[in-house]
Formats: sequence, structure tokens, C-alpha cells
Amino acid sequence: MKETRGSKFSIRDVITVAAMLVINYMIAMVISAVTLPFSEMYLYGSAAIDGFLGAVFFLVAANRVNKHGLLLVWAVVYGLIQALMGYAFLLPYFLIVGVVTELSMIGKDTYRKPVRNMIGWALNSIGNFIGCAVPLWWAWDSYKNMALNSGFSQETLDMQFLMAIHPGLMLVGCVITGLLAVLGVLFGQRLLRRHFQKAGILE
Amino acid sequence: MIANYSNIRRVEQIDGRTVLLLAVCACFTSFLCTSLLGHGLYMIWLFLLLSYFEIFTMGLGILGLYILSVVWLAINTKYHISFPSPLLFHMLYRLLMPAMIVCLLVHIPSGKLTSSIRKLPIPENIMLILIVMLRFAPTVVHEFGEVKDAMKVRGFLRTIKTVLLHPLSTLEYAIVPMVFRSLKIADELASSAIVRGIESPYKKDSYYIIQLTVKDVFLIMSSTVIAVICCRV
Repeated sequence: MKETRGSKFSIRDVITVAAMLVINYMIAMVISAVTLPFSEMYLYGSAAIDGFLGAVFFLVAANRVNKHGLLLVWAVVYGLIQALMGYAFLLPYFLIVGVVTELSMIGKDTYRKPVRNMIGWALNSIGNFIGCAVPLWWAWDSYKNMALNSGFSQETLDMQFLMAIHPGLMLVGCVITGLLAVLGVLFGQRLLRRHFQKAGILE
Repeated sequence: MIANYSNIRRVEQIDGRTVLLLAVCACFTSFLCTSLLGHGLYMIWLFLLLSYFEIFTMGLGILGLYILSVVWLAINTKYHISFPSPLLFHMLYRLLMPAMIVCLLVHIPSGKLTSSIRKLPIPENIMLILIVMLRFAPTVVHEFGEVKDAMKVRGFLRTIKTVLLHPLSTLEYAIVPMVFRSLKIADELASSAIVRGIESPYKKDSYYIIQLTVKDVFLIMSSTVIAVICCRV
């Protein structure tokens, strides 16, 4: 199988993607739960850690399926789950993320090339990072109303909000997320070589 | 064909599309409802729905978590406590409303859910991925437990110091068996589905009768009306 196949996903591909997505999503949920008490940590750290840990599962799916549309499906399913959990407005956003990441994978045999996987996965993780900020801004409005009614000063609230959405800090967050996603792919490639390819599960 | 006989569970008597519509309704209510009173009232409505569908314990658990989040949030803002972050409780209490309907969704038999969703304009691959994910999640939790036990027996999780000093090795010992086991289960599932004709190009039918009944219409109408009232409170 030398070329990234453009045909439809077979049932084996669909179930492999679903299995890897479940593990990735469960790990993402644990990371979110651990980092949520610290809003800045949640915003700047959760997508990055998820990008690092999830890379292995993405690489397994990518090397096994090796068909175009995988990253698009990955992002759309992520968006659909977010929509089902209450963030319906994130679905079109993740659709765009999916299209952008899929565009980065144009070419032959790209889902089996470590560098292309690295680029695609890093873009997907950066998309997740920016997506993390949206619910935070959404929750912010109601929190702000309640906090102001309870005696919080406007200055304190503005300072907290700036910490969460400062453009410079957002850029730093993108860099951290991209870097951890790249490191995750390197770690994942090592595992793939040492275990999965040796066992004959992946080519 | 399985019809709506009285001896089958209540949750099996409703259409999967109804539950999906209820999920959309809960998402919008959680997003649009600005008053805590209206939000709370809709949560009580969803709890009553879950109780009717014999998912009382899970519903009570989510309602308890909801009350805890709201009370904790009130304490946080009243006494200016910033840890745990008040944003956490804001996000949590808003997320718990759709979570109630997700509980109902996972209780619908997968065959029925598949045939219900097949009638919706969703690409088949996406639909299959979502359904397999819903069914695969408990297996993954179980498999994680098994891998954790195996790691404990082999002494990889003996102390926190061991884990912290060798984080990549610990990750490798956890991830590799997890992926191997999941791929094995995925292959078995795929074989089983192929044998039962999932790749057949012909029109697929189901053992379940997929049609909206009076009960479905009542559920959709009442939930929508209550959602509108709660958003206006």
C-alpha cells in the first residue's frame, strides 16, 4: 500500500478511527477535568497536553487507515461531541479546522509520512487550543454578571479576563500547543517503530 | 420487528431522533437561558424525564452535581474565593443539562439508534463513528482498569516517585497495551458487523420500527414549550 488511498472508508477503518477517537477523547476529558480549576492552565495547557498524548492514537489511526479525510473526520466528530455537550456553536468552527488540517495532508501517502502527520496534527491541536477559549469566553459573561452582583470590582474582573484572552498570551499558547503536538508525534513515531510495526499491526 | 409493546423498557419505546432533538433543545436552552431559576427549572424537567424513563439514579446523580456546582459557585462569588475557579462551576452547571440527555441517549439500544440516525441527513461514516464511540466508551474504561491492574502487578505504579521520574516510560507501558487491546476489539467488531451485512449496498432495514409516535411528538412539544418558558423566566 504505497499511496494514500482516496476511496471510501471501510468498516474496519471506521471502527479503528472510532476506537482511537474514544481513547483520545477520554484522555482529553480527564485533562480538562484536572486543569479546569485553574482557568489559565485550562486555556493554555489542556489542548497542549492533549496534543502530546493524543498524537499516538492519531498516528495509529493514520498509519492503519491511510486515507484522505481522516483529520476532517477527527475534527468533525470532536465538534459534534462538543455540540452534543452544549457547545453547538463550535461545530462550524471544528469543520473549518478539519478542512484546514485536511488541506495540509494533500498528496500521496501523506498519512504515513511522519513530517506530514506532524504538520496535520499540530494544526489540529492548535485548532483545539483556540476552540478551548470559546467556551471560556461564553462562561465568562454569566460569571461576570454574578461576580459583579456579589461585589467583585470591575478592575479585578478585567485583569482576570485579560489573562485569559490576551493576544500575546494566545500566541504563546499556540506555540506551546504546536510544540507539544510535534513532540507528541515524535514520541508516537518511536512507539510505532518499537511496538506496532515490529508486531506487524502497522506497515 | 420489535413494536411498542408494553413489556419493553420505556426508553426503547421512543425514537432515537426524538432524543437527538431533545439534546439539541437542551443545548440551546443551556446556552440561551440567562436566569439561574429558568435553568434550574429546565434541569428539573429533564430529571423528571429521566425518572420516567427509569434512569432515576443517574439523573439524581447529575442533578446533585448540578446543585453542588450552583451552591459552590454562589459561595465562590460571595466570599471572593478564586480557587477552584468560579469559571469551572459556570461551565459545569451549563454542561450538565445536555449531559442529562446524553444519559438517555446511551440507554437506547444501538440497533435502534443506528436505524434512527440512518434516517437523518448525516454521512454514514460519521454516524457509524459516533455510534461505535458511544458503545466503545465503557469498554475503554474497562480496558484502562485492566491495564492499570497489570501495571500495578508488575510494579510500574508502585510509587508516585517512579511515575514522576519516568513519565515517558509510564506512558509507554500504559498506552501500548491499551492500543493493542483496542485494535483487537475494533477488528472483532468490524468482522462481526461485516458478517451481519453492514457493507451491503442494498437498503438496510431494522428489527425496530422507526417511526415517530404520539409519545415522541408529546415529548418534543412539551420540552420545546418548557424550554421557551424557562428562557423567558
